[in-house]
Amino acid sequence: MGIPGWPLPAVWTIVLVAFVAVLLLWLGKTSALLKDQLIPQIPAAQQTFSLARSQMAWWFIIILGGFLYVFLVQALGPHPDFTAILANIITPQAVALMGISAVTAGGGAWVDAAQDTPEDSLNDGLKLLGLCNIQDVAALRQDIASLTAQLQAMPQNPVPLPPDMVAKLQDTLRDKQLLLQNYQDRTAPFCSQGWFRDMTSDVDGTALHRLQALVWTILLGVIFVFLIAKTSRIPQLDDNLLALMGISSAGYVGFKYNETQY
Amino acid sequence: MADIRHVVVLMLENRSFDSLLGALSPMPPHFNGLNGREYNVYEGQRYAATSAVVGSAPFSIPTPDPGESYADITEQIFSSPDPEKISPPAMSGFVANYAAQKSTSGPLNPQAVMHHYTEAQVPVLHQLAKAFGVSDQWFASAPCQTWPNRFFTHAGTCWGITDNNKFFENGQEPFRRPSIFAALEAAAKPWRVYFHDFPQSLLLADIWSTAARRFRDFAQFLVDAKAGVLPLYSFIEPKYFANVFTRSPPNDMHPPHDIRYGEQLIATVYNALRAGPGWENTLFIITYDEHGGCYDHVPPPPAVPPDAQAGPAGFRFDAYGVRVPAVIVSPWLAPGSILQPLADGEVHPFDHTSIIKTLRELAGIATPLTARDEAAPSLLPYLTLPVPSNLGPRQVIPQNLKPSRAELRANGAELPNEYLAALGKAAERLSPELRTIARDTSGAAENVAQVGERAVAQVRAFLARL
Repeated sequence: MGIPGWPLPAVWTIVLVAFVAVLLLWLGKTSALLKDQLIPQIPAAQQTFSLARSQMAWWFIIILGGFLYVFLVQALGPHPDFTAILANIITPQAVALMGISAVTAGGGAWVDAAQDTPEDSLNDGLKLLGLCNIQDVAALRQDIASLTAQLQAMPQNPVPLPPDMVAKLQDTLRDKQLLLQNYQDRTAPFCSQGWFRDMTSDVDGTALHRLQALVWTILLGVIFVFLIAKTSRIPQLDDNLLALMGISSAGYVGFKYNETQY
Repeated sequence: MADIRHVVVLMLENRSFDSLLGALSPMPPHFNGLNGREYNVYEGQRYAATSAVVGSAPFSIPTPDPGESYADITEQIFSSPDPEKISPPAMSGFVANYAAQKSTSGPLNPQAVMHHYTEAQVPVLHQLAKAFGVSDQWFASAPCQTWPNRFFTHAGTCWGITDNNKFFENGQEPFRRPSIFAALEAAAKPWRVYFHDFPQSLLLADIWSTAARRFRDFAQFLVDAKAGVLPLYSFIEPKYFANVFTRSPPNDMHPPHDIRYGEQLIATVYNALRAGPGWENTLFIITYDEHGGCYDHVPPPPAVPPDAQAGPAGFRFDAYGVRVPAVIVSPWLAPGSILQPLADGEVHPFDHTSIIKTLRELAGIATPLTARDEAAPSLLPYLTLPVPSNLGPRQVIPQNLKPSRAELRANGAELPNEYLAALGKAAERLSPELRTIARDTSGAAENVAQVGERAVAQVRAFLARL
């Protein structure tokens, strides 16, 4: 099976990479796959995107596609030698790229765990208000809905409730509405503002250490793909390029340590 | 006469004069501070006024909070709940009253209430007192709790009510007496209240028509000071509740809150004023609403009753409360001034209504709010420099301190003390019907974070409705 004018390995690679990319994008949007998950009271879909996790996913797709493409090109060629093929695709540079992205993700997670962050304070505060997780928030919404329904149905009750009971219901509803409003106001600054803004900003706004890490990651990824397409081999990235990637990631983790702390 | 265009009052919480300024050093001549011979006797044991640390938290003494009701204060001053039985007041019942308090936070050491801080512990207050002036003759307006004294500050009376919660029982809250804010409004003189979480002054009903544009977050104070657009009168309310979300502790100095955060607030206000273009026309008053049960050695003198309203046991509000710290800051005040109205021929010492008197003089308001502020001495005669030449330190630097996450979490998880509970109840009165919410109290008691967050939300909603 093929597309006229397109080599078979390229078609298969594009199909598989597209499938994985769509799957990752869908999971990234609806689940916590690419999210920080620092605030358990916020639904996964509203958690902010993690730069380190996104970077990891980016290199995963690129290197997976690269491996597949090079493997297919060489495996479908005349007299394939599978031992040599494997040696050709698992290069030190590819391992280094995956390693850098994994260390960046791990470093970011360590910083989040080690530091007292605004997210920690939000979490502490919400817990003190009785909202420990997303289930508590759902229960609060449910309480508000059922109290509202109860009060709306009251005029139809054959036996009216005593006025003090009605006042208590109204006040309980008001308390819960206030709590929900508080929850919404407090969590709003910590909800996702969209992938790009999450990537490039922290609670203080746009952050240079994030922007540079994002730009270098995209640029090196594009170079990597270009070289594979041109040579049909896993590219021998220049050591300086890899060092650049390492410095960029280290800069990100280092400055993340310095992001607004309490 | 001093050209004062901005009066800024920062009223903190519950510290006696001796507890913060009694050890001012070097002690100026005639200054009525501690001389090392003050003590109380309880169960045959002497408890001296001392700076020796009591307990494990040197900046949170006394812990737990001492008694501060009218009955408590009567006992502290007279060693008896019945003031008729002992006269003159001997200031000898502080330890006995403290020892009798119920403690919900561990064992209570009676010595704690006799504790006083040193200059090294409250450097900002002492530095400003020496660079500008201090009054050792400033008393709380009445021997009772926070709200009555704060209402004296704003309205010259507490209308016969001595305890915070009594305002609810007597239907006097919201407080409906005429206030200095409304008087300034009528005289077309601008004023603002800058607050952190809950502005207690919002309980003054006569300013509700203008409160929406007159009440501002404290952050706005810093902006206004920098821009030189402060009004004639700025009243600053400290942060009463621990805010876990912003990791900011209470800075009101109310026992057992850490006093260093209050020092940070004082420094922030001073530094903003000092750096602003309005500095040469500023009078900054730092004082405390009441002594909060902390020891002071000076008996409160008689006072002019503000009105005909009587308190418990027929108390006519004809005596002041216990002495409180008062640091007066202005470029028009000579460095090291000791403000002593009784030594200068005045009949009465300073109390909180001296703020009203000073403002009335500045704004040209002839009519007093009550007989108390009519009789109060003004601060203006003490601003004697011919030109605003005492510019003071460019900056005062408080102790560098950041609360830990665990500290804030613990603050937020505490049960509110009586004062915070009263603020929470008051915030609920700001509902559209001005009534207390019929809350289900059968579950777990609410913590400081819950009460504080709801109070903040209710204040915001109230101001938005006005």
